[in-house]
Amino acid sequence: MSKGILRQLKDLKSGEVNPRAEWMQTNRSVLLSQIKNTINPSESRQSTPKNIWEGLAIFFSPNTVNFALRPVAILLIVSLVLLTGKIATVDAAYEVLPGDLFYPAKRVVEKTQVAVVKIIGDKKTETKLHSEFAKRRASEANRMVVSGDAQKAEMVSQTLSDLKQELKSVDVKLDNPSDVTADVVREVKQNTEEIRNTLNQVKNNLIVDDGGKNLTQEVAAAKDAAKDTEMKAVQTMVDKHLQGDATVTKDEVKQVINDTLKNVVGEATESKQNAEDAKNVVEAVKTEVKDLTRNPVVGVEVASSTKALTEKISVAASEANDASVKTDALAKEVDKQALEVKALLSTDDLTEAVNKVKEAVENGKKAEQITDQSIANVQKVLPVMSVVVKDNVNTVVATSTNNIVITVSTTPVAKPILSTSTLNTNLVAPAVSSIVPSAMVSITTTPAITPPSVGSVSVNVAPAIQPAVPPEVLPVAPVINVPVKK
Amino acid sequence: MSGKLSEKLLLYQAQTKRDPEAYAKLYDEYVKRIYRFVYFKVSNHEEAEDITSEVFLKAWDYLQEKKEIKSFAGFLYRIARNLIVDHYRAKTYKSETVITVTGEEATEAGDRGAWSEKIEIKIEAQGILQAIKKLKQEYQEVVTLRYVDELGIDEIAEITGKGKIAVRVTLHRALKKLEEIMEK
Repeated sequence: MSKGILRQLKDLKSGEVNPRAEWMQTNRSVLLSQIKNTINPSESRQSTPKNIWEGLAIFFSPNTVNFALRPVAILLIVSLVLLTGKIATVDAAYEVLPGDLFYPAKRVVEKTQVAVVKIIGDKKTETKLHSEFAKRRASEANRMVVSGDAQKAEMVSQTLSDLKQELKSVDVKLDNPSDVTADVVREVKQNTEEIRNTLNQVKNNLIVDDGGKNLTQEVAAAKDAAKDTEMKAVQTMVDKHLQGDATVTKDEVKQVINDTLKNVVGEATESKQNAEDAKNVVEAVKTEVKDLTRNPVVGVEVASSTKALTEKISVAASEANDASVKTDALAKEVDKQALEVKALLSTDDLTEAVNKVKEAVENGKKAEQITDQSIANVQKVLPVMSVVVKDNVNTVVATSTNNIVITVSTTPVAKPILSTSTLNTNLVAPAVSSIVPSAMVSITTTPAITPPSVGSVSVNVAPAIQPAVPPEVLPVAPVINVPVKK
Repeated sequence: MSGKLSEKLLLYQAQTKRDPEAYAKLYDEYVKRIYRFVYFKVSNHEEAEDITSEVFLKAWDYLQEKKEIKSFAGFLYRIARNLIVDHYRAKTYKSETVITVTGEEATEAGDRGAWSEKIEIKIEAQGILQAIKKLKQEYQEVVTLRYVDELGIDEIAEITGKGKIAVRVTLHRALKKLEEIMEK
């Protein structure tokens, strides 16, 4: 009987229980058109690293992919890179950024290099490697910021801390002058100089769009670390010379000290200049606002929030002023110290000269800090300064009023839009451009949105005190309706 | 084995590259099996057709959500099973209709010998079909998968989510039960 049942069951396959061929065809085309609709053509998928691993997970179990294939693949790449030698690494690895597929490989290669050198006990090369890697981190940070990729920008902070870590390793090595040769120190000095320049670029790029993430501060901290290491390198060179290392001549040491000094003086002057620019911008805006409040439109009381705005700007202005005065003093101090260093150098007092340079560097750092803070403050104020004036040309006919909106924003705009108004807005624009060189300034005048035909005049005042808004979001000004005396 | 690999390749294309054509090939491969699986559990062809097409549409959606899929066959059967449950939940008030023989036979009444033979097979098929439908879900699945679709034990284990031994035991019991029903 069982056999019979099995046969019957088997027969079912070719009979009654099958779908109609016709239905299979039509359903297939219906299905195809349905699923084609679900595919959004705009989001065509690229073969990103993530997709590669996901794709592999179809063929193997996800565990195999994550714990076996992935490490093996990375190891394979690493060993390949190690085998093919430096030529391949330097160029290829240079382009890789955190978040990329091969970035872990790049870091593993670096770590392996350090580990190998450590085992051999080659401290000179180890120091060189650390400073080289620090340089790489700086350039990575720069390219990450420039890339404008939000995902990458989030990783900048990590890269900066890696950079500081590398510099620390260099510092440790420099603390034992016997571990390093003059050559190594020279290289370190050069690398730290490059790091400083790169970080400066990063900072400039960040001024435009530091989404309130305090990255600027982190960059400044990394830069300070680079300066410290640079100073340490200079110190080590001097020590080596004084200890009678023939490879370091007196002239060279003097040259190095002079160069460092020049850098410090240059930066201090720049800080001073920046702080002054910041002050000028705020001053210019302050004057504008004052004019407004001094000449209130006939019959219109100045709204209290306008006063608050004025106060806020006054505060910012006085802060900017303070910063400018302080940096000016610091710059002068640095100049003075520079003269002293020169005098010391002419009497061949190298130790004292280096100490003086160190002091100058500290002052330079302070000046930069103050300037950074000042610029940040000004940037916080600028987006909220949306001032509206009522241009009461014809007092008799109340409907012919025009509202002029001056919006000073740090939002990068494709092209500066400048237009005339009763206010000398042209004064603000260059001032703002000078402090925020890469940000475009837009000053627009807009016609009144609604003629106040019912006898009320609208005075738009931006909320005077506002939390730091992201620069691209302009605050919406509340409309305060003030009754007009007739 | 090569069949499995090509299936994985198609699955990869459908999931990662969102290739509808690859998915259509998977459809060709599985539509009959899924249809039969559904048909054994619902009362008529129309319902089976509806549910089967829904199974493939749902499977595509799941694929696009990047859900992890261990076995595509098991995945399809699981969706089918859930949809069948939904289907019955939606129409609990309706009593199961008995499968009716379609009117096709009447038009072919002309040639006698063939007709009588065909009807015999049909009646026999009806008998076994009725018997299968009387089995409980668990038994029904293993019997049809094993003897109608002629799948291997390990494949059935994958589809039903049971161990191989459990599948063997269930199969044995199911067959015994089927015999009992047929003898009545």
